[in-house]
Amino acid sequence: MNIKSSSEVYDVCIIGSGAGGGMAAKVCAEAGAKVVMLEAGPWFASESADMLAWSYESPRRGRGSKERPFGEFDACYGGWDIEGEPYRGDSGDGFSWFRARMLGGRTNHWGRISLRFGPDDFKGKSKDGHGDDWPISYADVKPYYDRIDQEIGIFGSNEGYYNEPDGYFMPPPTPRAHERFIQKGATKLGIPFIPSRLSIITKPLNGRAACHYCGQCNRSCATHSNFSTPSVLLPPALATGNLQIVTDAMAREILVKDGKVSGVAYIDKTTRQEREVKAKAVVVAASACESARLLLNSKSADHPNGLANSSGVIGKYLMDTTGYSMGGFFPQLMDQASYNSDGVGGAHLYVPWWLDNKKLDFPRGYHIEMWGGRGMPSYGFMSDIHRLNRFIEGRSTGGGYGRQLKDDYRRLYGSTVGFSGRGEGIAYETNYCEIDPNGVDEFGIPTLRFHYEWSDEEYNQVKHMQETFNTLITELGGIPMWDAPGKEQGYGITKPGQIIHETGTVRMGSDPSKSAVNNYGQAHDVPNLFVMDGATFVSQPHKNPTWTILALALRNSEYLMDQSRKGGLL
Amino acid sequence: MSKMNRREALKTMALGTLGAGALLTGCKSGEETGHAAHVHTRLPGKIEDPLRASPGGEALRNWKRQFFDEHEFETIRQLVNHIIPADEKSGSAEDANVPNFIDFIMTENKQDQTLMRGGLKWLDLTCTEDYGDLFTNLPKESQFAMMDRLAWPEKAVPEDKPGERFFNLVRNYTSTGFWSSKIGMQDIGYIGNVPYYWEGPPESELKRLGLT
Repeated sequence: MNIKSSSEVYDVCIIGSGAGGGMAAKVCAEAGAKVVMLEAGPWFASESADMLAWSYESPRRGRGSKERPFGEFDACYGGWDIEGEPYRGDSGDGFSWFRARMLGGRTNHWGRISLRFGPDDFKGKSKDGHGDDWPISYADVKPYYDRIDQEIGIFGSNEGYYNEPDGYFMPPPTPRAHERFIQKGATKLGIPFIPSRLSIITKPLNGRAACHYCGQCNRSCATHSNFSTPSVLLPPALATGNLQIVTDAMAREILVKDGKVSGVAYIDKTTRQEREVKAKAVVVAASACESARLLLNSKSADHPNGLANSSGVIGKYLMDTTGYSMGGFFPQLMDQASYNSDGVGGAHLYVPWWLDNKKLDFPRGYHIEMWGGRGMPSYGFMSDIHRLNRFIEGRSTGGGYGRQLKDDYRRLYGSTVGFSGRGEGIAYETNYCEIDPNGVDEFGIPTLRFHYEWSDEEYNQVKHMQETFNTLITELGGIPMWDAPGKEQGYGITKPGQIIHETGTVRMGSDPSKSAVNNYGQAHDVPNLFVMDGATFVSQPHKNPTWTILALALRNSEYLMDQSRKGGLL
Repeated sequence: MSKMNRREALKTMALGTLGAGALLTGCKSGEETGHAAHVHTRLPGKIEDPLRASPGGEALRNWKRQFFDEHEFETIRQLVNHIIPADEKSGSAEDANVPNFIDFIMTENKQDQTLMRGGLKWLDLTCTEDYGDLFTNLPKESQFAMMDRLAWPEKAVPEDKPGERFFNLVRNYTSTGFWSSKIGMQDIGYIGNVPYYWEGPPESELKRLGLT
């Protein structure tokens, strides 16, 4: 094979352009380092997104596809099933591996829910004996959360919950009608709906316009009013002139020379040619399992178990968030007035974890996300109306056709509200990904196989979600839209990987025999190798990982630059 | 903010935002950098779709039938107009191009093709046996008598179950096709998808819901 190699030696090579890679690129490029970033997917700019497209502009009316499971207008190109890039996820309770393949990675996908990990989240084992403590505490990360709040922008409200730390928030959008209706009833039940904390700016910031309330954050924002790396972090990084981005570059192996990382071998996906970049330091931020895969595949005589893996922990302690959802029909919300209620993309209210686990039969909490409202009709609009219109007063059964049915749709639009629980799963050594000895992808790179099993801690938590949602719906005068699955169906818990919060596969720690990287994401075994995505997490609280990936990447990239300034590292 | 089209909206909103677009609209070519960098301003399977209408336009207006044969298409046309007829507020399913939508979506939703095609045949066989002719040739009263047997899932007798499943499939596609059309959105009162400033629900609505 004709391996082409660039003669330039970069200061830093970053693998992945998501939250971790994007932040590392900005910090390093602004510090004056020469940076090259490898992204396995194609180029993307927020301006080329489908913001403000109408459902009827497409013959599919917004339907999802394998490559765009969240709908054809969704910004994120990827999915759980990517052509030519297989994995095995059929062991235990199974594992579904979501991958974004585009510039910005999964920052193009997420719901912009930006919750800080709290003091208890970093010290779980000390609190309840499960999992492990992080080698760092909330106090170590707080200054970085404070900075990204102010530099990237977030709305929310300061509420004073100990383990849901407050921050530097822009004003939150006022709640929609159905959200106020739920909030009012829930307050009487002791369930606190508070303003969401989303990385969407409601005031101009650093030249970015304030949100224009089209409710389509998932399509990517042409005015840069919400966060994704191509929209917010890469422009200033590129403006320094120090960042080179290589797209369609699938990293295959990290190269080692004289005990240090010397560069990265990658496949140019468009020509299938093997190529190489040389760098004085490498930052791995390819997403938790992809980063683990790359390190495990980077075997050499000095690193027979894979790079940075003398401890053998890489791939282990894989975590995902638990999930359970329930919808309710609320007769009070029928016949709503017509006005523009798009708001921001996502719910304006949510429920932080509000109970004391000491009084419960599971150790870790969950938050509640709410859905509903009168959004733009699109594919699947009010499907199976017979399950809904049977609840209209005076009806003995559901279904129908004609003028009455047409009127039913009008009356029922916006009358269902749903709740999704998102809970913490405990980190177990026995949940893992590893190299599949029988598999390669279309580029010849060995693939992953997974093993994952939920424990009673997760099942009991999801059972509690069921009870909470049932109470919320029935006590507020609603009707649950389906039967809650029983114990034999695992209480309807999502399959591991479906909530797309996988973390933990290259865990940090102070003991090199039990962890792969140190407090700064720096490999114990190789000083010029860093990991800056969710792989380093010791626990995965119920909170979406992105804000913490950003905070840690900011902290760790500054450490990397500091080390290089002091000499020695670069 | 008053209503404006997407092109105007994007132009207006671009004022006062940083020039990130200019930075991100192209990366250097491979030859310049020595790397295999590839410029992708748009992602595969997106926007370039020739079936997409221009901003604000409706796709499928001039769709040429591909999935159904002529008789099947006529049956679907009559069915969807019975499911969502014209009334004093808006037009019919056909007015909203629902037959075209269903024909198109069946070419892609392969998992529903058998039920759709088989259901249409089941309908004709049953109509011929019980009412003496194909569905499309029956007088309205007989058509409605047939539909009454299928339109209420809990009431459908076991022999009619295949027809009930088929009817629900057609009703679901009619719902998507009609309400996500321009006519349907106007009818149901979806008036968003424009830049504006969200200040909360109107006071009258909060009062009606007992939230003041």
